[in-house]
Amino acid sequence: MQRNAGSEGGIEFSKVNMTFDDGTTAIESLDLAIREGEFVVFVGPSGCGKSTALRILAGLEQATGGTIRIGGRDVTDLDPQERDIAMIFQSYALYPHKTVFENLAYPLKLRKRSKAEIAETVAGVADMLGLTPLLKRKPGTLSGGQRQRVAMGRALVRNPKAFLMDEPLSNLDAALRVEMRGEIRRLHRKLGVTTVYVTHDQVEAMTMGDRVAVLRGGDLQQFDAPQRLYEQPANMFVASFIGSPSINLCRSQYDRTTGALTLGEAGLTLPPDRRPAEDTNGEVMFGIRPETFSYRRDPEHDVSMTVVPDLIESLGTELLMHFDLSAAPVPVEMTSAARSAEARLGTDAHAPVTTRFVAKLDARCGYRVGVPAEIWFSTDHIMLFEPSRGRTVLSSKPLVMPDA
Amino acid sequence: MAMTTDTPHRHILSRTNRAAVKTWTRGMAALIVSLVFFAPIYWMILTAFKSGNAAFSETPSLFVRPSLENFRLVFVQNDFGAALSTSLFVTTVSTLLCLAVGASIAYPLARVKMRGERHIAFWILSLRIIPPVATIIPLFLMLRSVGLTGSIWSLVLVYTYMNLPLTVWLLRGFFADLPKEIEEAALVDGASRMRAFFTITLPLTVPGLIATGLLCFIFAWNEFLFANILTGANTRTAPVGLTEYVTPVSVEWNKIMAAGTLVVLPVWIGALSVQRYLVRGLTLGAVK
Amino acid sequence: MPSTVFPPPGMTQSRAVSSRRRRYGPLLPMLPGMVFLFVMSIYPMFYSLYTSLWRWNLANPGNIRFGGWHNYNLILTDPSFWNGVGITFKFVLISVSVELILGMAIALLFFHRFPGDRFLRAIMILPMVVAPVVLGLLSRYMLNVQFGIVTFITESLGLGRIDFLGDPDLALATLIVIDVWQWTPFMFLILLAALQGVPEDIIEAAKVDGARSGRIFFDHILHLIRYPIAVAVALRLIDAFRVYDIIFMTTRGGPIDATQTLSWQIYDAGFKSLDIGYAAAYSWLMLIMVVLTVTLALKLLLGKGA
Repeated sequence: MQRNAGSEGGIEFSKVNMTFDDGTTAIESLDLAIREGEFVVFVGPSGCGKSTALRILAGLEQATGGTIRIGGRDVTDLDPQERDIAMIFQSYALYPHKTVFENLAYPLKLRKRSKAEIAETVAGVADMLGLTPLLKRKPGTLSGGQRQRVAMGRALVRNPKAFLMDEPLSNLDAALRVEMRGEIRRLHRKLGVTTVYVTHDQVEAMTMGDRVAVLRGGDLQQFDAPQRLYEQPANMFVASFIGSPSINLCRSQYDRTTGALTLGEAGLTLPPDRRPAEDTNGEVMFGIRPETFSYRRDPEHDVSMTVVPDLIESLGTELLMHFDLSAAPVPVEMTSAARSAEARLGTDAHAPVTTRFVAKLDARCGYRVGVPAEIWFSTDHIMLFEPSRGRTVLSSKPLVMPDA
Repeated sequence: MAMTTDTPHRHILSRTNRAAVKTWTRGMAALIVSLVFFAPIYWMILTAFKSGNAAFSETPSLFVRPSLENFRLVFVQNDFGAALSTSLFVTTVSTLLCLAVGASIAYPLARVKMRGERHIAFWILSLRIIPPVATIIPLFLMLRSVGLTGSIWSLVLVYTYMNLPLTVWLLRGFFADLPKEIEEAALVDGASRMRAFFTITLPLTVPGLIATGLLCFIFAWNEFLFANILTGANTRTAPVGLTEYVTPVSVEWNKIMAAGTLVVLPVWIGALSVQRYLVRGLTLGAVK
Repeated sequence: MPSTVFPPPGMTQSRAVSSRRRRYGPLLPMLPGMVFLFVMSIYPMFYSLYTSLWRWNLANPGNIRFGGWHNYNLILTDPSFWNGVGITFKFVLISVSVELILGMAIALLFFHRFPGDRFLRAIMILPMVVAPVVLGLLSRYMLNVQFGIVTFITESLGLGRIDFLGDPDLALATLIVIDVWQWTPFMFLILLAALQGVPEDIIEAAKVDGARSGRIFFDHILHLIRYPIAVAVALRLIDAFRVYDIIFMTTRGGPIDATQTLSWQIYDAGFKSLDIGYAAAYSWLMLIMVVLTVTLALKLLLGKGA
């Protein structure tokens, strides 16, 4: 599969703006180039503009500014039917008055294909998706999973320039969702058609996307491979949005002359190769992912802290240990809003300022609620963000070096 | 307290008994109420089937040997068939026109994002508040100036106008209820807006169109005020034709009741066949 | 539109045009209908407003003079107008209230299922689709003093012969009863649908909280269905003000002036006296009353938030 630069065979958003009639801005100056054959996921909390971006790409909404190209062609002013794309909707949007066969045949009929060709193509797609026994039924009689397949089939019957998928799995139950996730990925590998997939679920984004675009309030935060989003987030929002449980964040003080980092009453010294850029000094936001903690000391976990867990949730082979750290929490608005509930509200002025932390540990650690526990981590996994806008000044050391 | 194991069982039994009694009384009360509302209708139909002077009998009989004589006379003597067919024509044409024009207004209102969409919809609905008697004189003069008075087309126009606010309002609701993704899917699949509307939207709103059309039909069919003023001797609708049976000299009640039954029967059949959608139509969609 | 498929670079004008086409093109189908509505509504409105300010009698076309508020003055100082206002409001308010209460009672009766309820509900639909002209004739026939079935019933009950439509004291009440017979089913159907739309869990929660059915009804259900109630009442008010056909077929405003509603008086002025200026002014006064009454009713039923 040949992968061309964005404007060649892929999809390109340049300076796309979207302001609704009521004055709200859904998308602000979006620049994004998707390579031909790439599987790209748009992810973000609700209202971030990801669906609007997809609908602009489909031609269902008219952008208020900017240009959209699909396969090198400027489609900004074209109607959806002229763009040669296929779309799968969250609600599937099957035609309820048509049988499964007629649903699948509709795009071909609109293109005036011969009866024989339609029958052959539909049969092929139905076979691939296991829909053959359902062809004569109406969508109303199908299960959720079957409907989802019909929606996919309707997109697959023709050979579009791109597949657009708007939260196609969100109406399925958890088990089926995981199964279909794999199936969509397999289909994509087989067909190699450029795909743009919208979801609010960061796990779906991470597992499915070749690259993931994280959006927030109409702004593109970062557009990168999943692993890079995880290890080298562009800012605190991306860091907090990607990963589950969410990254632990608190305020800290950094002294650039000594490399000392102070978190409330605790402190550590950053080794010379793990220090932020020269101009960082004073207050910084500290972040560390729950899964980088260990209950044992080893070469990769050489910094310790002693904490008192107040809640332990078992996950089977692992557990989540919650504790308070005596450091001030970061401003909620700089993190992903949906997860901000974890930040403790400072209602009591006399209470010591603390931040909720979570550590994901091996279940064999044997720690119990109320009993002081020692946990270990590494400066390799520490992330630092500058305090005003949340930009990353120190990201964690990559586990795998990305291919250049 | 030693007997507590027994009580729940007895209690349940008495509850089911009580419920059965309640259901029975309710059913009987509902039956009586329905009979009260049905009685005049029954009386009309019964009289229509009575022959000769039975209608004027001082001791009414609740059952008769049915005779079609009155219906025959209504058609033969009074040429009520002409009035009925005029009514049918005016009503059908105005209903179809109303649906076509109404849909062409309601669909963009329901689908296209525009400023002041609600204002337009409310303005159209507010036209319903104007009493017909207040517009009839200007309308009459307006139609007379274009030479349409006495023609059935003046009634077609007036009925279309009269039913348009309701039609637009209802169809807007029905179109808005249809998930817009289904139409968008058609657009993405390669259909033009027109094609999507006619192959996807319209077939899916058929129940709504039928219900709306039926209401338009009923209102136009029963209308009297405009019909009385705008029709000429040869273009009387059925309700206008009915009034001519009442002359100072004689009132032929059998024939009036027969003609009345003929006027009412078609809309009854229509109303009963789509009663499910009727309620929604009657409340302008306030109850779904 | 081949010119827009591949817009040449830099041709911003064609882009603006095609953007406008996409934005306003879908609105195009509205145009003929909107023009039709406009012509049929706005023109008569202005025409009527205009004529209402003139002394204008079609029987005397040579003598059309500007009158200013003349017609309005004439009407507002005419006791028969105020009599008409009183009769109209009596008719409208009593009919609609009775219909609302009766309709609600019957709806509650039908709320719990019982065998045959669907059939009886279908029967209840019949009165409201009876053409008012037919209903007027039917009422006259049934209330006929010589051979009407109602007369037969009153006589056998020992009440003697009562001329329901001919007695000035009874005529309006009789018209109200006829209206109630025709339109209570309308209220019933809507209220029943509204009741059935009340979420079951709210009623169950109230039951678990220990409320009796009467309390549940007044505390919760009435509040939950206030919107359909308001719409139904507003629609009925609007229609009740129009009452004409029934009066035309039965009392014709009489006996004396006992059933001279505003609609009837306007019709009389316009088509009998041919005084169209006067009738137009009358219409405007009536429209104002209808709008005020409906607004007030909606405010009362929906609270200040409406």
